[in-house]
Amino acid sequence: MALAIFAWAQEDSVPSEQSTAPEQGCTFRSDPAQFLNAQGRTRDAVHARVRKFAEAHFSTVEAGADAAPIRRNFIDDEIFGKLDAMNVKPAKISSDEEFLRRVYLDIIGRIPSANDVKEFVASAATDKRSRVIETLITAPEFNDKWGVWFQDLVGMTEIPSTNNRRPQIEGRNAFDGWIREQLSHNRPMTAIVYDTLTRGGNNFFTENAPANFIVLGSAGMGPAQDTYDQMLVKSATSYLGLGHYDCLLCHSGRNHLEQLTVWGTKGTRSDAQRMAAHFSRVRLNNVVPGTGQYGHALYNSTDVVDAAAGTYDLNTTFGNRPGRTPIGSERNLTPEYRDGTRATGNWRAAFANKLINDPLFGINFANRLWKEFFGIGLVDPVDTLDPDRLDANKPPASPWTLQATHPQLLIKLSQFFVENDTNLRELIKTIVHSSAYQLSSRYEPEWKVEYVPLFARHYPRRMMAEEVHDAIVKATGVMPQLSYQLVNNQTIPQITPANSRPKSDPVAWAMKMPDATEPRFLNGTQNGSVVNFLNTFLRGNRDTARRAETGSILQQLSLMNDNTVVLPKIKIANSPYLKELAKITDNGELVDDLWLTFLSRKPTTAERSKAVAHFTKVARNTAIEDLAWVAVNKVDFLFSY
Amino acid sequence: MRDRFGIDWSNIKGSHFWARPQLSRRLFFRHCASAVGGYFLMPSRPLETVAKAAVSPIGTAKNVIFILMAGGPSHCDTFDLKEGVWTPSFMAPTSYGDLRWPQGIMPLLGEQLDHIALLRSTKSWAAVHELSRTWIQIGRNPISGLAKIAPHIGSVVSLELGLGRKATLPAFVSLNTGSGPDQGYLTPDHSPFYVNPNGNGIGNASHADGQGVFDRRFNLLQDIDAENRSGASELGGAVDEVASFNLSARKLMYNPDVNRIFTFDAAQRALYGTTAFGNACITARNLLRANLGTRFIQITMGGWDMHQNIYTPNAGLQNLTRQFDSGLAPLIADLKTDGLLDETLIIAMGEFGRTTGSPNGQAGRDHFLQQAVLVAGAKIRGKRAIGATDEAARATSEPGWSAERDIRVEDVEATIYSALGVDWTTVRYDDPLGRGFEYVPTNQGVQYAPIHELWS
Repeated sequence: MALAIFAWAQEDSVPSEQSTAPEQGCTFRSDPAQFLNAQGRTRDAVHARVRKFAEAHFSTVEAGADAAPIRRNFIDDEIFGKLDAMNVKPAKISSDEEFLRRVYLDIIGRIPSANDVKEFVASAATDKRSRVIETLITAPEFNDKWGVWFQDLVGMTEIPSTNNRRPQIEGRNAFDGWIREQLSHNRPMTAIVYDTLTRGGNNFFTENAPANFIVLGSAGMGPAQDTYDQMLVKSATSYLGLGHYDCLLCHSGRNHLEQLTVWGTKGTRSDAQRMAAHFSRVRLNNVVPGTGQYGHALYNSTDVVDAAAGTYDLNTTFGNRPGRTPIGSERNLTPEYRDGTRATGNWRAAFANKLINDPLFGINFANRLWKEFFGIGLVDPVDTLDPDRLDANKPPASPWTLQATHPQLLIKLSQFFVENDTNLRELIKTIVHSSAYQLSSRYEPEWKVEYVPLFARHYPRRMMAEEVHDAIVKATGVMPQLSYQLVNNQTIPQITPANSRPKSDPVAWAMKMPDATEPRFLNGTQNGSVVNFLNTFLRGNRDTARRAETGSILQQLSLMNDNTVVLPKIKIANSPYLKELAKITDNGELVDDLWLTFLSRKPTTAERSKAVAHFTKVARNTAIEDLAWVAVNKVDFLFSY
Repeated sequence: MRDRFGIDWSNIKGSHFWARPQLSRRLFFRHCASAVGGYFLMPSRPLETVAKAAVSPIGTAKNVIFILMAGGPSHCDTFDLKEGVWTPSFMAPTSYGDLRWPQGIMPLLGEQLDHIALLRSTKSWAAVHELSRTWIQIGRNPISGLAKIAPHIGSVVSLELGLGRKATLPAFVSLNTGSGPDQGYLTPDHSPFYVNPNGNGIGNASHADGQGVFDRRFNLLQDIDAENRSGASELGGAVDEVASFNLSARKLMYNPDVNRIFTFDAAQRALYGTTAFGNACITARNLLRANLGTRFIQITMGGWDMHQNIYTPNAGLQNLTRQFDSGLAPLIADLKTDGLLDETLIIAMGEFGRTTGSPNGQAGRDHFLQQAVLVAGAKIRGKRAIGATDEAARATSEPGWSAERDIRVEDVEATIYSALGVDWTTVRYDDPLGRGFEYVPTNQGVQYAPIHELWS
């Protein structure tokens, strides 16, 4: 396919009439035909000019065999600039099929349908990739995938193991509904984060849903200061990437963090505690309903309250962190942000205002989003940002190096995010538009370990557990009825049979579940099979087990034999898709369609001939079911590559 | 070419720091090529471990059976029996030498006391279920910074004693455990292999449409997907890893050796009490008999959280101890007969103990930090207790061991490693936090240590 590059200033191809205004006195009423023609020509000319601009900046026609990838934005300038400087070749641009499956999974967590693939590949539009991106960014499924991402980030779950006060099912569900709604309204990340830091009231109420983030900060088995610390650790780690506060809240950096962080080494325990002090007026009050233990709708809920007074007191002798003792005459710390600003007014609001304007806010989210799409962060692990090693204009003293693989890129990405109102969709759009993101994951001639931090190719990722489940559902068309629980077990009288516990309206998609304990109900009955399947694919529990992409024997056993999520769905009798597929009389075309549906591509010559040959060995319907099973168990089914 | 840390990767073969690799080189490069898990890709320090002190692990055991009594069993009614007006007659307290034992509710284990020692000066850190349960499985405070990456004790055992892909079965098997701590930052080879044994094989290890259909499909898969499974996929190491797990999974299916372990009939189940716990004990015995690579077996048994009606006959405590007794006693006996008991360390503990003295207002017992642990096997000296508590088992009156303080879960952890011949003071420097991962953490100057008195 030919390269299509248009310089921005090609005005000469615009029709000359465009510069001519309609003649004096020419209005629709005086001469409709001329008016309309003139308007039409104007429209055409503007449209042509805009299209050319779009093609130059956003279209991704596949480059010729050895042509360098087109640099579409600042991401490409940085990535390809560095590759050129290191004399390393980038991979080719991904094929249309590779790109489509990847971008569907990466943006909305679903595989494309066979028709989506066929239309996309067949389209000659030079801006087809940008159109697909636009469609995906605005799809409702976006809110599900990124709602799950955000809740992974903050660790939202019904009962975190380290906590004294917990969100419980009601708080978890409220938060889950809230974040998905925030995303659907395209709200800035600063606004979303601000709400999670500053809201209060009873955590079960939907209008107080964001307050459940504060409830997550409750630390069990220790004094209140442990809770203030935990709230700071969660905020700083999730929202600023400053995971080292967890270390500093036990001890100063000196003699501890010299191997890890320049900034942290200079940090003192009291600095960190002054940050935590922003939370020292938060009270998490157990709601004790007057009627007694069980059965009350608010049983186990928490009132998040800001006390009028209180400080971070240095007077603890037990708990999860070393004893806190006065520093000279200082016994009660008041909040001070890490830049020295003393908090006034409501301390949580003061903290939230500083945090969302902290330069690390943008850098943190830019870095984390980069990792979502590129597989490794520009700084990795993503919660170890070191503010003293991020500025290319102020590099740290030797032997320290700048922390990011591409320091200028990280800053530019952060600036882009902030300049675009910290809008998640805008950030994702610009990442995904880049040629760097669209590189193939295949590399020739020989891949070397040193190329890894250069992002010279795309790195495949195994689908998330929810994506695996949902891909099987989408491909087969067999829609399970998954429901999650609506009230916590102690709100319901103990004798209630589990199956009659209040549950959500059923949905077919695992990506809609509020946490890793769900769905507890399958087709209306309590059933753990789907949860077991998802656990096998290492969904994690947002608490003691992190989400992971690694493989396992149990995953393979599930894909081959699971008699709830897999095997029933590949039976023609159950699958609307396979029923339709069976109507295709030509075996080769049938195999093509099956591959497009499950694997988002046509079969290779070898795959096709082997698959078609199978029809000679068994009954036709058996062959179809066998091949559907093979498709789900193919290695490439599991990957976004 | 030097990476950004100045490490020259072009000459790896001769570098000395590979002398004691903790990741096999192959696995390391696999991860690099796959770009799965960011921190593996940019190592910043040599992969070596440093022993903190010269220690002599006991080294009598090859295997561990770790019984997690989820919910927190009442210690003053079980392993640290204290009698009072509340003690129901069915408990039938009996003396075995110096040991007072509830013969009435655990008669079979009463006959095995020669092989059993009780740690009565044990104290939990936290009376919170999820927190403490996680704590005893990873051997450190789950709130600590390091807990984010900490592996389950079983995963460390898999790392130290596992045979890797050469073994048919994973080194760490977890029975009747819903979910819990995994292998942390260690590679997925060391993840727990979850099974809920019912005597009918491993779940998902047989094909609903029958072996004939399965074999046909499996062969078709290997044929059609051959390009991806040659071991050098263009897509990188993550893909090769999937293919490798697939073959390992296949080996577990329709495998007579594996079936022998997980398939047992009603008669066999009856010998162990016909309970989920009993089935897990049978499975543990079979796993060790078969010797197919499993070294650490966790059995999770829930229901011990008896806030109400603990002494109701045939319910509450009596019900659960009957299951426990009828499962664990024949396990110990069978291992003894097989000659495996001497090389298997058995630990049974909950996440904490329960309140002592008179029961609470609902005739039950609540969370309590003092607890007691049962230890058996690995050539320990049995029929005695280490440590003692006051007249109600409220607090330790005598620690009973050289550290002269309460026994903590970290000490139990150290004991497990020592029994297996593993240096419990090991610190690994391949962790992603770059801080150093200690097998047994230190805590504000307290040095945790194995309870070697068990063997003397």
